[in-house]
Amino acid sequence: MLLDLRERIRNSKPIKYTLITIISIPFALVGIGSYFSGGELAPVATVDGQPVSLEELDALKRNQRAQMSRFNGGVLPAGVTEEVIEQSALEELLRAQSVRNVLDEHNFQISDTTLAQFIQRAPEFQTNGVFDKSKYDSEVGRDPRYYEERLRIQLRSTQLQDAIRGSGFLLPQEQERINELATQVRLVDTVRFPAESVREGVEVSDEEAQAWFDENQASYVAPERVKLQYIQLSPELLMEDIDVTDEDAQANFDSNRGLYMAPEQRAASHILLETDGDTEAKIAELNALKERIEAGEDFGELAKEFSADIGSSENGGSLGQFGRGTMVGAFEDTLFAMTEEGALSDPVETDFGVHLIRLDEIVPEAGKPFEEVKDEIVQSVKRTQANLEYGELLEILKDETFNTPESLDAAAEAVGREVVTTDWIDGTDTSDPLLSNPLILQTALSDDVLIDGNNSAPFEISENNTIALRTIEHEEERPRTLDEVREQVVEEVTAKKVADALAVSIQAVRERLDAGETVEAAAEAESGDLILNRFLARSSRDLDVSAMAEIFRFAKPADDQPVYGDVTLADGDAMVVVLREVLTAEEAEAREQAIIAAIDAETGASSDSEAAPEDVAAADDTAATQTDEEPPFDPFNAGIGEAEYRALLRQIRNSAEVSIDREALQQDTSYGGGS
Amino acid sequence: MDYETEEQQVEALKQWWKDNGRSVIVGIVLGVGVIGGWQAYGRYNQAQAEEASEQFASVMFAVEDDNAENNPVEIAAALQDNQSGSLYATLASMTAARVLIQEGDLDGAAAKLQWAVDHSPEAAVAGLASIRLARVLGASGKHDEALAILPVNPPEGYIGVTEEIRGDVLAAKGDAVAARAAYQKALDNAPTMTGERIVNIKMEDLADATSADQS
Repeated sequence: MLLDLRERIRNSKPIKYTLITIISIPFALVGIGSYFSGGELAPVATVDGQPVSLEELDALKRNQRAQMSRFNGGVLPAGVTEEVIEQSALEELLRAQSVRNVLDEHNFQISDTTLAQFIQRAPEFQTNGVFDKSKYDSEVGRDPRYYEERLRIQLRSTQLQDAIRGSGFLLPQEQERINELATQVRLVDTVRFPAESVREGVEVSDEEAQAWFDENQASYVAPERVKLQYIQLSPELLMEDIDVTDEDAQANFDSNRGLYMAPEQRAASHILLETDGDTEAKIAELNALKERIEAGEDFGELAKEFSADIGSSENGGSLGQFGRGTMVGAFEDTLFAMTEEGALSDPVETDFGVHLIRLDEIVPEAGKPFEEVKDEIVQSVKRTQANLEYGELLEILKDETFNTPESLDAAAEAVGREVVTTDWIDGTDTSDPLLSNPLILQTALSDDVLIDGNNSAPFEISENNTIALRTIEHEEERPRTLDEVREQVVEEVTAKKVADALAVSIQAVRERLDAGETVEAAAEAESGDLILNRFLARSSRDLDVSAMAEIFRFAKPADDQPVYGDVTLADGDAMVVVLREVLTAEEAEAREQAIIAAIDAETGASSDSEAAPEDVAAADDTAATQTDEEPPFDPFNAGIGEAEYRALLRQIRNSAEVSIDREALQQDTSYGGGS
Repeated sequence: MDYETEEQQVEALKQWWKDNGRSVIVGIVLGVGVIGGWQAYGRYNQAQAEEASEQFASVMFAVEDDNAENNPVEIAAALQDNQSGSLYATLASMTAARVLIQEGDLDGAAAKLQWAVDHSPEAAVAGLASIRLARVLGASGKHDEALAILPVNPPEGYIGVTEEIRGDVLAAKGDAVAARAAYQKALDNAPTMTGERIVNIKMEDLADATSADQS
């Protein structure tokens, strides 16, 4: 058959050409290199045929894990399992790959020109608004090509984002509507029935409590709880047991003197004569000068005239201020042995020649004396020592809790700490910051500790604060008895009775309103507290948040027919709300002015409307805070473009064909070293 | 095949070359031609893409620059003419629409967005452009046209934004019941354009006696 094929190919030129052409295509497309590589790890997923590699996934998982634990005291937040991290990291990679595919498909490129344009416009490379080549060179470092390539990739990936975001807009009409809604004011009358007035007369019998308890038993449950023993280890605790004697502290102070004290300094002047081999003569010369000075001649003038030290002679021989270790031995020894400011030394011989020294000033040792810094030193010595001990004891604790898993006593003895026994812990008590840490209960209920009865491994509940624990008693979730929760039950029944009583009043008011009575008349008849003309802005704090939200959900009054409803306030009070009008912020302001004018005109107004001015003022306040909280919308708010871009990302991700290789994910643990 | 002598072998080779030499040469020439052609095509594509990218970048720069000499709408129009099939042209057209809105030219903006919808080689971007188009039409009072553009069953990623806009247009048209339903869908499904809080406010403002429980 092969022979037959060969014959046919040989006899047909078109087939021959076609074959050769076909064979050459793959080389043109991928080059020869790809025939020699291979043997890589299987991709964990493909997005429209493009692979997502295990290495990428592992790197991102590491990153996310580190990031999440950084904000949670070094450990992963409860509920964030490996699966959760894997899921979120994988999803992020799939999304990124699907976007990359779209960019590839549509041939997104950053040309050299665009790159250059971008670099020239980047503010970090500019001086006074003009591109500065030297700034660019120093920023970018030795390999501009590397930097430029990275920038190119980055620009490409943000091109689509910038386009969508930058072309996002909010139309003036849309902005107007949002502003109008956000600053809307609702004009209401309210009739309030305080819970307190009914509450006094309410009594709850044992039968009622029992009935309520029976009916709602499911909600009275004591959560699962444990009693624990634990050993706590932290540098802070260890510090308590470390004694630092005064001698230790003094020794530390002495060896670190420089930290606390600035050493003595002296200011001096000198006259230097070079010896040229004849020291004796020069010394005699200096002594002569010394005598002239002592006789009243000026040191400075003589220094200028005779001193061979050109650096100082101009300044009258002054060398300025310096501490020990600056000048040559004999000079220093002489100077620091002098005691009186202004005194002259005998001639001193050094490698430079012979000096006549005048002590100008003594600047004594300055800083905090030992007594003042003693406590600080003691603490610091303790802390250093405690940190050292902590590291060592931590290792011992690990070994001992593991070696003697059935008790903490051995471990406690080995590290010199007490075993602490707790009362019941169920995670609801937050008074003890240590025991209310969720990691405690989580560890106490883990299989190894709870079921197998082992010591837990030592674990950090916060930085440098380690706990090892064991569970000594455990109780499953259980129903509570009536006696345990009687107080709560009585309170609940009371609240219910109060609400029922208030509902009767509310209903009565509503019926009167239905029958056409005025709100004034209805409130009077049912003895409710009436407030007329309240201007409520969305963020008003006159009423609590949920009541305000409720009022803004009322239908708008049509044909001047007020709409009414009722709300329950956080303190248990009930209220009938009559919604008269829905106003824009401007309308509301005009209305307030009108009402104030009316009150002014009618001095000695009724007690009801006296409330009005206060409410008007309150509404003014809230209207003001309202505008503070809602800055005017920028018509070209990038936020809109941003939201649209996120929708675009979702859409791109959703329409990509994704296949995830669960088996390839499994290689993870063996490959990633179980990190 | 076995050959008796070397001479025979050479002879056979010569004969083979005589028979097949021309085909081999033509084949090689063809092969090289295809490779060269392919690479030239690639280079052409690359050049086209870079040019589109450059022009698009100039559009973006011009928007930021606010310089009368560089009119972003004109640069965008040139790109739209030269490479109408490129995604860059679509994005340029959408950016031009934004600039026109800034100038108050809603009809011009609508035309730019319509062009983007018609020419986008990427369905997801076309979807976004049509949502923007519906907003512009709605703001110009063309409610029915706007509603006609919004897909009845938007793809999953666009449900939130689409339903919010549908609600806006229906509310402007005066159909509170349908608008509420659209807002509710937006809230139920996905992140919206202006955020949950504002959509909620928009929806609650349309409450009537049947929708709000006031008993």
